Amino acid sequence: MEITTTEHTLRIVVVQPHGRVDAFSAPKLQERFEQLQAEGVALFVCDLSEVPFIDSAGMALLVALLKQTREQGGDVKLVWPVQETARRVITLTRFDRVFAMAESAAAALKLF
Amino acid sequence: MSELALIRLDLPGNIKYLNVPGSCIAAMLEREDEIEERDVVIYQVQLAVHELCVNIIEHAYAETGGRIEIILSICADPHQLLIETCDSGLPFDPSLVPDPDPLSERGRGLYIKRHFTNEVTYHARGGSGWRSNGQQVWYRIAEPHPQPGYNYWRLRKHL
Repeated sequence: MEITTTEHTLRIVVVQPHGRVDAFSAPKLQERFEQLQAEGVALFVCDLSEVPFIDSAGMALLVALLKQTREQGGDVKLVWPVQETARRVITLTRFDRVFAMAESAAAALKLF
Repeated sequence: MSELALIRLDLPGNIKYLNVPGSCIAAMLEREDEIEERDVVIYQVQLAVHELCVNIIEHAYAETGGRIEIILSICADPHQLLIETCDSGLPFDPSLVPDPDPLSERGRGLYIKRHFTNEVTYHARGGSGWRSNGQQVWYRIAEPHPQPGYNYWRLRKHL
């Protein structure tokens, strides 16, 4: 009997911005995602736990990333912001219906 | 309606300065008496004004620059914060902007403004006026333009 064993490792990158994600700071975050995508990364966790403020530009960036990665067979999971006020924006804009959400990066990794 | 406080800001239409109105709003509301869920109110107003300024910079001025005048005033009866802005950029019709689909990349700014305040009024430069009360869609108003020659926004937030 022959036994063939193959091992597959998924590369998942956790990106954690610290501070506001808004029209001013979003280009810097977008640049980081683009660098990682250029390296072939298509599975992301974006950890928003330390983001106290996210605006429509920040949300547009994440939606664009989600669409791009899914086209490549990848996906994006989000970690909820700790601050209740920032969480309300996520629910108001129904982001939590588009993205799989988790309470921590460790929990988000298990969603893949 | 007696006016208790008024602060006037005159900002460059540049996203670099978007943190200025938010700091001013927080400072103004931190010392205001009798605000339930103060942190939530501050955050919602900050985000609504932030989105308003982004709209003006990116669409009205199409990122070519210009000034944004912001007037913050607190009124006593009813207890509320009014935020008025004037800009000389391109006017638009807000009723033509659909509510965003969760997967759309644009259109959330107007939606957030409407949902995080109690009333939004917009008078287009040299033209018509529209209003939205909370979650309602936009409807036309026939009130005189408060600042003819400018695009004029007014957000109303109950405190």
